[in-house]
Amino acid sequence: MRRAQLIALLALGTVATFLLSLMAGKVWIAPWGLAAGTPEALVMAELRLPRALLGLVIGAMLGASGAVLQGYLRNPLADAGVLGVSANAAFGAVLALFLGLSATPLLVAAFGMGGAVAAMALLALLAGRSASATGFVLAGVVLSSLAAALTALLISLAPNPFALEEIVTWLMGALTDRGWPQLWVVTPFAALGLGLLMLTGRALDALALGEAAARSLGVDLRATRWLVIAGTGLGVGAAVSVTGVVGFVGLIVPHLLRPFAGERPSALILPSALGGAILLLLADSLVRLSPGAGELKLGIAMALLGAPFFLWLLWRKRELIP
Amino acid sequence: MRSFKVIAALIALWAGAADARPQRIVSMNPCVDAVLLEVADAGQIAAISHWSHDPAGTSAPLEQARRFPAHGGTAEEVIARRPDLLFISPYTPMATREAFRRLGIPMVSMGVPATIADSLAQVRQVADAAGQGVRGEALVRRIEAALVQAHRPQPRPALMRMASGLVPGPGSLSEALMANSGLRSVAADYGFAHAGLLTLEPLALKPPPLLITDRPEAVPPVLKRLRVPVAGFDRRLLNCGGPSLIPAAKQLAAIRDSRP
Repeated sequence: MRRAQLIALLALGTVATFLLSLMAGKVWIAPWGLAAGTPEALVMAELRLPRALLGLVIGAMLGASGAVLQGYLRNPLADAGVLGVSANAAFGAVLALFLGLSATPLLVAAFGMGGAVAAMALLALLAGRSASATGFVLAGVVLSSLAAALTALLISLAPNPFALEEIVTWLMGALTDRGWPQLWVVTPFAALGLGLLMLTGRALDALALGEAAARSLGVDLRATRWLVIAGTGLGVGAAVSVTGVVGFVGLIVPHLLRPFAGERPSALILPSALGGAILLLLADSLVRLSPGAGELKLGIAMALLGAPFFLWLLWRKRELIP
Repeated sequence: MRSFKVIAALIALWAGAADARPQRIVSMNPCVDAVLLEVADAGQIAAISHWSHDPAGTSAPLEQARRFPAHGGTAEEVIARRPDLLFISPYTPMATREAFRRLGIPMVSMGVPATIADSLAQVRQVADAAGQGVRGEALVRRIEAALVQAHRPQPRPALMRMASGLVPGPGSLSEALMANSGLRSVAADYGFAHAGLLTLEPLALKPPPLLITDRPEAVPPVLKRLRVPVAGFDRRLLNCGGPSLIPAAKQLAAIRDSRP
């Protein structure tokens, strides 16, 4: 498939899932012809529209970060979730909730981004020292466990059962009841992060040939590293601080699209952003349709969908992991 | 002289009974804490649970609770106080319970009551175990009187939903108390058969006639736009029943009587 065709198709899919996300729910609402002032119009304006936009922004961010990380580390296992970036962002955000800052979403996001940038910087430094793919993923797993332990520590120190309930519910990951304020917090940082990641394309293509080859092609590896750290840290950190941990998007989407987009890492970034948005919007529409009075948590649904799918993918093409 | 002997014997019996009252009661159950503070002598209580010292969690008046030492809930802290009566809950971990059993500490387990009758029975059980049956009965009378006073016929429909989204739902003590105070819960209309989380969407699509919430200042913008009438309610009063039923019934009745 030609690249332009692929992108057009994915863009079309994004628009379609965005519309689906506006309509789907316990009550189906058509986004057109709504009379102002009715509960349906209010639900559309105050809840569904910001929620769908959040899904779009966050899905795109997670998808693109997966494609860039896999290219930069030359490792198909790389993803913000696997490498512990999301877990450290979650730890930062939980720290903010623990300190009673939940009333200031911007501060929660700042803590989340702090955690994500710190984890990314540590990993990038490690990657600079040893190029071994196994060592790198191992370091990510260790960072992830550390963040999980620190988060559990904060939970066990929670001052009262209500703070505990707030933290635990948030950790499960969801877009439920998020509105405009959260969208305004995430969007600038996600856009900035996405922009920085887009800039790495040429360097990633050169890196595919190895570090020495990339250097000889005139790629500034230091600058590339900082672009990846800042882009992933800001974007994933801000996204996690609003939704909690929603995994698998960055891992699955690049694998799904690589057969169509080709092996060149730069050709995969934009399609992965669109694919991530489609996947997240689709999953978020599905959780709203779950039976019962409540809603399935998006983070849980993503793991339930993502894990078996990824295992199947590994099974089918075992040469995927070198 | 014979009648004097009988009286003397009765006094001895009464004194003996008083001595037989547990003198070092420890409670690991915040709901029992609230009852103990009402029925036991101050000298009988060795320690209460740490929840009762927490302004956001206590089911008893905070100042009253702070007059007694609290423990953190580990077996060590409890054993160090050498209790002669220990109140636990169904949520006390198995290992902790086992440690008490090995040491031969007398234990009474109390759950979280789901109905008003359960709650009153629990008050009596706690008071009896503490050797204060008379005061327990008096407390039950006070609660019953408060419920009668708060009783309102002609129920007004309302939904109780905490800021976290939690809806107590059918079969809960909260709904029983609402019903007594003249508030008909509409939780079942949103598909609740028991407690659960209610998201904003179904709530906005079917605005409740009256929303009772623990944080009226934090009502989501979409409900404000729909001009849903809101009443604030102290969530701590619904955790346990027992003595807190008195202010709870009063608050709910005041909500029922407020102008629509």
